Amino acid sequence: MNGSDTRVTTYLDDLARMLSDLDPGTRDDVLAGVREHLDAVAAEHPGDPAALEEALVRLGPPERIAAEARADQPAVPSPGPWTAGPTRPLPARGWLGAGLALLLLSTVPFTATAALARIVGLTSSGADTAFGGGMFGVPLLPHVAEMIFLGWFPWAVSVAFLLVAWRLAPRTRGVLLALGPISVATVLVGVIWQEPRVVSGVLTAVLALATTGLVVAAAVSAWRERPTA
Amino acid sequence: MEPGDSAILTHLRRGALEHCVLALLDTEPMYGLDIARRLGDDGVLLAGEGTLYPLLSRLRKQGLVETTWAESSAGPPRRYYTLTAQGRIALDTFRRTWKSFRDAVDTTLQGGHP
Repeated sequence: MNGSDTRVTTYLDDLARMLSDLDPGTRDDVLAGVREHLDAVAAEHPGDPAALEEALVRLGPPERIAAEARADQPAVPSPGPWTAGPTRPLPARGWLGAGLALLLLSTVPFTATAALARIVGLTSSGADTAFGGGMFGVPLLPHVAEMIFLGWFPWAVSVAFLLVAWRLAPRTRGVLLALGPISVATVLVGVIWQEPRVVSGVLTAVLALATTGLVVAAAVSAWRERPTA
Repeated sequence: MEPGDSAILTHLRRGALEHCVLALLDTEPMYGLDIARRLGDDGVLLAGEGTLYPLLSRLRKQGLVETTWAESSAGPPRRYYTLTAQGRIALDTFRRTWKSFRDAVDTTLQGGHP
């Protein structure tokens, strides 16, 4: 991290702080606009700190941007939630959050279950004796076909939510959509490839861990993109 | 510029600048940095390039512009601003009104009667 990167970060932090009392829509819009402006300058002049410095000067002090944003606010600043309610646009961030939560639900438990079943199968006399009876008559491990079936359903719903929030994660959305098929492929590998037992069991566990890591990383990345709502 | 100029410009910009943005977008969709450079080069229309972004946010809320994402040959995807049908109507109205306004101001400043 060099000096101009630090100054860009400080500039954006200052601006975010000065906009903090504005409505979230305006705040996110303005911040995203300024951030993309600086990203575009950096992309045009890679490794040229002077270009970024000049861009910051041309943007002007963050106070002035905040003052302009404040001037845009309606004359009556607090209309009360009941007047804003019916016309307020859908909170796209909420859809993104719901989509990410369902995505986690639709992938991680199933890869983890498949891996667990294989590991238990390696260390005991077999997954069937360990889990077949279940607890209080409820099977602990769903059948493979059920796992895949159950996994696809929340995945499909999460894709629908993510499509609603499409603009929110332009850089990560491709990865988000690929996670469902990747997860199912991981479960299939764990289920179909049984021999040699130790090698395939360990590989299943590694694949499950990797899928979990990928899902979590993609979710964090999508959440951090923070484009405008 | 004299010190007093900036105060007068601040007042004059309000109302005119947003229509200048609409006029730029009338020819082609543009992204933020591009608009900022076109308007900010002389320091007359934009006080600082950063003040463009609150204005773009307001135009979008008013439905006069809309945004689309497009891949860029260099760097991250860019948000392009496009004029909406409503924005084009607002621009046409401003063009008509501006001409009579400008003529009246010019005539008065030159000591005549509007």
